[in-house]
Amino acid sequence: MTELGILSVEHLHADAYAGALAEIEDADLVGIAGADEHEETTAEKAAEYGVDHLAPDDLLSRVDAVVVCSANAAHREWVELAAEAGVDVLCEKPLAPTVEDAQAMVDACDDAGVHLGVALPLRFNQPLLNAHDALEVGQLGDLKFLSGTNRGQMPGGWFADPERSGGGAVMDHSVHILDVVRWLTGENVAEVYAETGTRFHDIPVEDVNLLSMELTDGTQFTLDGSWSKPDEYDTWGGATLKLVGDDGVLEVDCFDQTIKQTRDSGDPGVHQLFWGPDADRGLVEDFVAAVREDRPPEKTGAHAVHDIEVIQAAYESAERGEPVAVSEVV
Amino acid sequence: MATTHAGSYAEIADAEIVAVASTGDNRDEFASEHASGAETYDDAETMLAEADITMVDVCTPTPTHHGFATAAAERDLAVFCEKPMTRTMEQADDLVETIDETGVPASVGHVLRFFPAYVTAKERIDAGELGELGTMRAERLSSPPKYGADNWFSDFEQSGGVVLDMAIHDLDYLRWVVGEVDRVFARSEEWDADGHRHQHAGVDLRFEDGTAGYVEASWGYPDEMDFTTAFEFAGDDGSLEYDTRDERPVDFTGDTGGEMDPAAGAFRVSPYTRELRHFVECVETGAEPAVTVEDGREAVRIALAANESAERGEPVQVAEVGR
Repeated sequence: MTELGILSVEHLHADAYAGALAEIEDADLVGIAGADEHEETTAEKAAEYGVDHLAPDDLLSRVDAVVVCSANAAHREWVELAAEAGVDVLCEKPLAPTVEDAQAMVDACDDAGVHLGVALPLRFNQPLLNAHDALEVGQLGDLKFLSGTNRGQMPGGWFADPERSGGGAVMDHSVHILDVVRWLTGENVAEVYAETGTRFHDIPVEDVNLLSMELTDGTQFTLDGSWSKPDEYDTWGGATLKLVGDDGVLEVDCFDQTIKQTRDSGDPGVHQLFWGPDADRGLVEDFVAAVREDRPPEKTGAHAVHDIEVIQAAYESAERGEPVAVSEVV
Repeated sequence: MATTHAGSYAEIADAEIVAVASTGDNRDEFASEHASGAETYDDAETMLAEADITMVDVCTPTPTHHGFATAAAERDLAVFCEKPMTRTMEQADDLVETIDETGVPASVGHVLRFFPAYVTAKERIDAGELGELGTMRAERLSSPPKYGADNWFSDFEQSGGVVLDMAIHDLDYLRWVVGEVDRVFARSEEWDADGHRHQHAGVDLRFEDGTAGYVEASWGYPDEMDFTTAFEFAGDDGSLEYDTRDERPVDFTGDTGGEMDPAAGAFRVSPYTRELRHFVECVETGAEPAVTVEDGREAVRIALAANESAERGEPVQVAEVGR
């Protein structure tokens, strides 16, 4: 039995990971811990998940691995604490608000001899796995252009507080598709151009996130990761990726496996019920297996440092109004 | 496009095609099929000099638009010009000046302004139902056009590629909805296959009011694909989405036997007929067309700015193009 804990439940995804852990037979969610200032919320969540609410050190002494679901700016502190305790870590995305923090976390885990993973569940999304297979057998020919979207509703709370999030939509909604493209192509991002802005909400971070990139092999890659979905939208948002090759084009809608539901009461309105394979479950299963087998998880912290470099280059581009080579921010 | 337009004129009571000029050998066949009774000419100058006409519809390859439209205007004939209005900004400026001086009615085939879905979206936005706009996206995806005479679409010097030929529809439409574009940043990939130019391009737009937009156009799909268009507007009070991939008002299973395809569009009046009927009315009444040659010029300017951006790898200020 692999025993796990969750450090901080500030990020909503803690619910999904706790749910997945409850379903995985050879894993056990022992308890959760949080910062002193979030004691009340942490206690509520512990009760909701039916697990112990423990002091961080207590929790770390009892588990094989932890999932860090804090606000972005606190990732480093939690991950370093786990590394000190010799416990493997799965960290919520994005790994950190700055390249400096991200690299420090990777180094801390390396020094401590623990594995650091990053929670990017789209690698376990079945439509994207199909795309992965299609690329592997060469069905698209030479890849020429990639166009992705990852829009959502404005999440509010700490996500819109630059001190705790490190930034808005660029920070929050770039890395999912960015990681998928790096995973599918094996390439990194060479250059980024960003159009950003705050157009939808009265918040101190950006909610417009249009990125135009070139990969290291010259493939073009555009991404709309804006918080542009209205509050009343029929689902949280979505993720898509179009892969244009000289032998074929593949269009993937990651969350199109849905049933349309209309309710008159309860939560009235039109809703999309997702019925596809659960990517969060795949993510957590892989992490549990990695802990048990003492191997790196599917997405490592080391691989994620480049994601943060791209984000930093995107902010730099928005600031300067010109494309920025990712190598410039390294 | 000539075939589509001819079909539309047949539905417009006040219009009749009486002359067809084309350098293509199929002009007589075209006339007998689509414009019965029309005289045919193998050069436009002779037609303009001899035929008894009040209006000319220019459906030729892009680089020839300027010459034919100018020649028609100088003979005091109304001009309807297919998009893009011209291949270059010099041609656009010159044509606008000619139309100004001659005072002939003139318009450009930015037909999205007559597509009901696109018009409905603009009406809702104008009514304030989306609040203040934040972002918008438009897609126009196709296999390479292989029907052009001498494969002219594949020649960038002639067609200007997928941005000037295809994305320009959405560029004009978004400009109509939102206003002037401040700067563009474009990425484009081109490759040759079977002797045809394949291209896929993505253009980021920043409008003067701060709205951000993205227009994607493709000539990169395999021939089997269904022509696809989509748009999405998001504002601080709501959003609108349209995608032809989701639009199946009529679905036909079976062999059409080469006869009419019941699933090929469900318009009571074709947008092309709306477009041309509107212009014919303008010619008759002297009213200003919905799409002016100034609009045609600005659409060319944005598209050329995008081409320049893709070429240089830098954002391009639209107002600086052609100035």
